[in-house]
Amino acid sequence: MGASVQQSFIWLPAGLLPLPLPLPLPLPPPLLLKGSMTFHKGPSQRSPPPPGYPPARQLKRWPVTWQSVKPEPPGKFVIQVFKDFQQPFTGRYPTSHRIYSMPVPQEPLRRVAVTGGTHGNEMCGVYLARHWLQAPGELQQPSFSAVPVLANPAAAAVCRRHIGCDLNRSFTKALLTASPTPDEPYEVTRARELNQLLGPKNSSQAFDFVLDLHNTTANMNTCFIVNETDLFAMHLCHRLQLQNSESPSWILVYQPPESETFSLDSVSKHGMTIEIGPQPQGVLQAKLFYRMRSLVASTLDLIELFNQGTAFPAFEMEIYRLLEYMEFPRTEEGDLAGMVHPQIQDQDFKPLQPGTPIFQMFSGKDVLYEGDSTVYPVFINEAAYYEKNIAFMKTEKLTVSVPALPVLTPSPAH
Amino acid sequence: MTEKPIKKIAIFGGTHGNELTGVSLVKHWLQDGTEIQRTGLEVKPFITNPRAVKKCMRYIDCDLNRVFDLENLGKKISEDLPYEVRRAQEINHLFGPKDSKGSYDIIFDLHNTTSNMGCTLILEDSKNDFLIQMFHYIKTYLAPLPCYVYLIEHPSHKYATTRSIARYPVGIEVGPQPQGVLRADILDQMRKMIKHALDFIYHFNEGKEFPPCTIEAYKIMEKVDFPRNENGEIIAIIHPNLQDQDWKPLYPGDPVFVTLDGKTIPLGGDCTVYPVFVNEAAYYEKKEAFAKTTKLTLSAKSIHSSFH
Repeated sequence: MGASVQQSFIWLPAGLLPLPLPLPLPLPPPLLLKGSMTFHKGPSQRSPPPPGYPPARQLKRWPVTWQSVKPEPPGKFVIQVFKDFQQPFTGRYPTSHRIYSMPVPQEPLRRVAVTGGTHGNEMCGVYLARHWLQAPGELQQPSFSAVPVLANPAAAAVCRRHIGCDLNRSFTKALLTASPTPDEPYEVTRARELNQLLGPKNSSQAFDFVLDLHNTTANMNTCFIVNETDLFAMHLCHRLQLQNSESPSWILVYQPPESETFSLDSVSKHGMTIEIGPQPQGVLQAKLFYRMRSLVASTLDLIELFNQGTAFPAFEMEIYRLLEYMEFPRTEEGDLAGMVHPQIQDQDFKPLQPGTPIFQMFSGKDVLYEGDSTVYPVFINEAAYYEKNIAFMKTEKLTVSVPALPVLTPSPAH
Repeated sequence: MTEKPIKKIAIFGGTHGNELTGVSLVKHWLQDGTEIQRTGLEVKPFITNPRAVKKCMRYIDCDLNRVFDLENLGKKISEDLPYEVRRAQEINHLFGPKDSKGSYDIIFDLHNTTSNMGCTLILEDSKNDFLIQMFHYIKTYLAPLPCYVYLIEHPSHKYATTRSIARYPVGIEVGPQPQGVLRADILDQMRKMIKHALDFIYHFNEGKEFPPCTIEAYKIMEKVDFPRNENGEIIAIIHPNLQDQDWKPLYPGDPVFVTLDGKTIPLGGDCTVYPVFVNEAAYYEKKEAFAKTTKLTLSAKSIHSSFH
């Protein structure tokens, strides 16, 4: 494994060359919380796979490109970079007990942004950002005013996900620090602008919090996407989940552990993505719009509570963590040969047992899930993932123990 | 009344490149057309907008399903013409020419909508006994699955469809399905509609007599735009009570839109309407939040093939 182990994960848009990054990334002096967050399997889970386990069976066409190495120091894993950036990454990473040292806020969060239209055809965020740019009143709190940002205005203007490449995969060090070129994709330029506005990423000048708003065509209800090392965001989505107990909401960890972050909400010190579905691209449905709006208001309320010195005690919660992608069955010409099976369509976050049909071929034949354990599929039949050839993503359900946040000393509102 | 037997049929998919049910069915039938073959019939599956299909976009330059008027079809070919106009002329050459004896007998054009319209058959001419009989047959065999007939016969709202180059144009629209997504349930419904349509044609050619019948249809009255401000920006969206309520009666005073500030805008006027294409993604740019229809009954005379 040698030198290649010292690389981190970068998801580059198609057409760009991969640029490996050294690990660890230069970070600002971290504010470390004494304590730890631990992960353990829920009762229904299998035991953790050993390091260096074999590739999953259903990934024959594109061999697994993630590998784990023996943990050093104990409890930590290094993830090897995957080689072919033109393809969606497939593979799994180990899921054993893990301990992090996590930066937590020691000061009130005053620089907060709410970003919509990161994908220009996800209409809840597009419309909310446009609305708040004209009437920002509802983003004001006693201790801070959140800044509304229309993240990808060019894509929003033509109602497309992106113009040149996926903006929400463009916040890598390689792209943010590369010299601008005239023929680079629009989103690479825009990512640099946003990094100026809300970052710079990994710097002390970066915004305290970015809340990024997304829609999916999958039946994911309300889903909070967080980085498992962002303790503050974990607290927020836990509270939001409790507040919205009448409608299902889920917490998804999308980012492979110890890999480089690439999403818009990674430019700030803390961040979170709200994903609401199902909603077709290019359509705005009132119910989802209002749900998104009230979730943003609740998030800002919670940040205000934290700023005012409210205690956020320790808790346990369920999270879903990305394992690997499931590809569509295709013909030799590359056309779809089948589709997501009706039995799992709209069944996001429900357990998927080995032997369950997952694809229905146009010939009428069913394809069964051949895994060796129960997984929880998410982003089932998401429109934007067809070009990445992802039919759904498998996750595992974990219980995490999250320590309390330090309580701030109340300070007068400014 | 007697009609000539049907010989040449085309099934179009991908007229809008991001409506994936038709794209997938047609591509599948190009590989294996067994299920659409019927004795004595030539059935040709065809991808109408391959460039838009490849990019998974509705169109490249302009809406292919609006340019089959004689003006566009007669334009001199040049590189400056929008791709879809050039493509329309090719399609007209292959399956038309429009309004000529050489044109295909029937074209089925397969579409999806993000609206909750279920199985919908689109009719362009209320006097077409043959198609009314066919739609009656399809509705009968799809039952209990509902199947609606949308009549676009209107002095200003009728549009120059891709299928209009055939003697009998049939639009098939199934939803709700997001653009760029393929749902198995929607595909199954569209597949059944095509099966029953081909069965009908087969029986007709065989000499079966279809007695007089009537069907319920919804005729377009008016397209309704979103409320907008002076800059043209949408300021109110489809009210939650109207979302997904295609084909259901909408009474004067019922909520239609809700502004971003939460104010409800009700239906004006004094007549009950039946909304369709409620919150269709592709119609935001056409300034159409939904279309109002009125319900009516269409009747067809008895038909049988002239060969028997």
